[in-house]
Amino acid sequence: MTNQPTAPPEMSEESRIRQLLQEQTWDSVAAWKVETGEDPFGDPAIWVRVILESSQEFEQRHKIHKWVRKEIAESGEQRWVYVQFRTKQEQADLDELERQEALEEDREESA
Amino acid sequence: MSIAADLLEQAKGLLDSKRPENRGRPKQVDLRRSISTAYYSLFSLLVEEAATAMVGSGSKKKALRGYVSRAISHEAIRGVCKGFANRNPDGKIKSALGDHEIPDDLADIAITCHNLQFERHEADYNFIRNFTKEEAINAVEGATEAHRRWKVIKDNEAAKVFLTALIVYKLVQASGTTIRASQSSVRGQ
Repeated sequence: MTNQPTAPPEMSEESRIRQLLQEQTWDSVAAWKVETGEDPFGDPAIWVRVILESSQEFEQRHKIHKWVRKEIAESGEQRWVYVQFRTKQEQADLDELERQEALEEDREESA
Repeated sequence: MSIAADLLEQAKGLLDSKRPENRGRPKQVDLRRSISTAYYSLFSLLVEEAATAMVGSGSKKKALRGYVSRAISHEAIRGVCKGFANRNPDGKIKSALGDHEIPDDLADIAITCHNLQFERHEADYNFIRNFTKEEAINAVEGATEAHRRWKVIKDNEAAKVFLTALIVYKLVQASGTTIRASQSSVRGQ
């Protein structure tokens, strides 16, 4: 390990898109999660998972969806943007479920 | 009721927390079936509409409508929806559109259908992903809204091109010829 200063790491494209989305504040949005890759049909795609503060009416989700697609398209992006919605509570429950599943798998493996 | 409408009701029913069988935390299988069924409700609606637009309604034409319906693939739905969602259809379909604008309602239906196809693929084949009720509700409400919007724009000229494109998508892709309407007829001169 050296003490030499290092150049700041280049921002990943997921971070760049997340930063773009964070420029506007939505009361109903707790966080944005962004992933990129290929969809099951072989097309390059972007996934934006919107973590909601609480369950929202369709109109509000639709408004956010349209805005996300527009913001990303206006940045020059050509890839398809999939927008998905989960509540903060649902995400926490899933994180806990996945943590428990991983623990169980590790236990089974070491037994 | 049509198959499309029945499928939509079935998708809603799987999430209805007032039903005794749905009390408590929603089962993953119900969330998956609900998402998958929501897609199929929209798929059925568009396929039925395309077949009827091409061969007409009535019991005598039922078999023919059946053949046309079978000619529409999920790949065609995806390709056509992508083009209409981005208001930039395949060049050959674009030439058929002429000066007809793609209305917002049609672009929204195309976006919903493309997204639902992906979610349906995930719900049916991705066994390591866990789904949430909000995701399933979003799929079902998106399909419901697409059904509603379709009734509003089904007679629009761009919607008619959209339906035809669903049927001829593969042929148009394979064909090297772009058929252009004469400039005078397109511009109404």
